[in-house]
Amino acid sequence: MGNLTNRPKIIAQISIATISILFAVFLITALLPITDGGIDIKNNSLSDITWEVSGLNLVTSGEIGITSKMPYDITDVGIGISLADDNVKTIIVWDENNTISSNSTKELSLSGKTSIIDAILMIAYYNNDSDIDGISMPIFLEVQGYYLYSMIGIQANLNIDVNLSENGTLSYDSTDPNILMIQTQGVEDGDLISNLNNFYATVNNTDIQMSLTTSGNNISFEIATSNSEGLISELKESAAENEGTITITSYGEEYPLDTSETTSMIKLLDLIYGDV
Amino acid sequence: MNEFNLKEGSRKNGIKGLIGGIITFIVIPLILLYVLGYLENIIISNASGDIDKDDMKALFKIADNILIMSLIFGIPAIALKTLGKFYPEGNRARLTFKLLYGMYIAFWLFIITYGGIITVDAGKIAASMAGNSSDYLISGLTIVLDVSGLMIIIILLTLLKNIIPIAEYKGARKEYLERMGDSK
Repeated sequence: MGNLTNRPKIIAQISIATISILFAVFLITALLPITDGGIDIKNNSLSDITWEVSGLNLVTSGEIGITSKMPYDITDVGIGISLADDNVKTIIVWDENNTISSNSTKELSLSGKTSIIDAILMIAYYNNDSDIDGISMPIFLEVQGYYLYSMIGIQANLNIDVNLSENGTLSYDSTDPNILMIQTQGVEDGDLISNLNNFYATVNNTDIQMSLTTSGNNISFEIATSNSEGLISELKESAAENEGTITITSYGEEYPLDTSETTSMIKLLDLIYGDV
Repeated sequence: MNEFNLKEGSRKNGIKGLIGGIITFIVIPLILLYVLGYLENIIISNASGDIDKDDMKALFKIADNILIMSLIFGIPAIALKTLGKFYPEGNRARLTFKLLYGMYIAFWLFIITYGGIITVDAGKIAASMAGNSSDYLISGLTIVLDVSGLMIIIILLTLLKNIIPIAEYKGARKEYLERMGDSK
C-alpha cells in the first residue's frame, strides 16, 4: 500500500510538521534579535562598583543597567557580589527575581554591605598561604537570567582577585584557640587597607573583643576571648542564643550581623583554625 | 500469525532503514566532528598569544563530546530504525519498533545534550580577554547554559511524533490483515 492512500498517517504527518514548523518559527523570532544587539548592558565594569569602609561595614554601591530589545521578557534576573573562595562565601549583594520586560531598561542595584570583620577574616584566610607577593580580595560575581518562559537560561559565575596591594604579605597566628592575630607586613600601597581606621569592638553577650591597629599601610587585627571554651565555641553559643546572629558594638554603635554574615564569620574562623 | 517473524519483513526496506540510520547517526556526526576539528585547528592556530589555547580546546571538546555521545548512543537507534522500516505498514512489529525508536530518540536527545544543562569553564579565556589589569585578575569563569526547559519541549515534540506510526498502523492495519489473509 502506498503512503499516499494512508489518510490517518498523512494527517498525523501534516499535523506534526505544522506544530514543529510553528515552534521553530517561534524560537527563531524569539532569539533572532539577540544577533542585532538585543541585550545591552551599561556600567558592566568592575570600576563602576564603589567600595567603601563605613564604620565596621564594607559597603558597595552602584547599579547596572540592562536594556532588552528582545520580544519576550527576561525573568529571574539575578546579580550577586560576594567575598568567596572554594570553601566559604560571604554575600554582599544578592538582587534576584527581577524581570526585564520586553523593550525596556531595568536598573539592578549593586548596593550592599558585609561586616568588615568577615572581610578581614576572608582576606586573611585567602592570602595566608599565598606564595605571591601582594594581598588580594577574592570577589565572586554571579549573574543569571532566563528567557522565553524559562526555556533558556544562562548563569555566569566570575571569580576575581581584586588587588588590595601589590606588595607586602599577610599572615596569621592561630595557635591559641582564644586569640587570633592577623597582620600585614611590607604593604606600601592599597586604598582599601589605607581606608581602614583603628577600632576596638566587642561582641554582645560574650567576652570576645577585637581590635584593629594601623601602622602606615599595614594593619594588625586581633580577636580574642578570655573564655576558656575558645573563640569559635563562644561565637557559636552566642549565635545560637540569638537566632543565628550576633551584634558587634564599637564605640557605642551597634553593628548587627545577619545570619549569613554570622555563619560566614564562624566558618572562616573554623577554616583558619583548621577545624573543617 | 507471528507478526515479529522475520519472514514478515522486507529486506529492501530494512536496508533503506539501515542506510538512513547510518547517515543520521554515524555519517552526519562524523562529518560534523571533522568540520569541528578543522575549525578548531584554524581558530587555535590564528588565536592571539593572550588567548589560552587549552581553554579554547576545552570549548571544542564539549562539542566533540556531544557528537561522540550521539555516535555511541546512536547505534541502538540505527537498529530500531532498521527494524521499523523492515516490517510492512500495518504490522504490529513495525508499530512496536517505530514507537520504541521514537521513545529512544527522546532519550538520545536528553543524553547528548546533558539534559539541556551545559557547563563551560572559560576562566582562562575570560582572563586573557580582560587584559592585564593591575587592579584585578580574573581567576575563573563558569558559564552554565540551561536549556533544559527548551529540551523538555523538544523531547515532548519528539514523543508526539509517535502519533505518526500509530496513525500509520491504524490506516494500514485492515489492508495488511486482508493481504495476510489472501497470502495464506
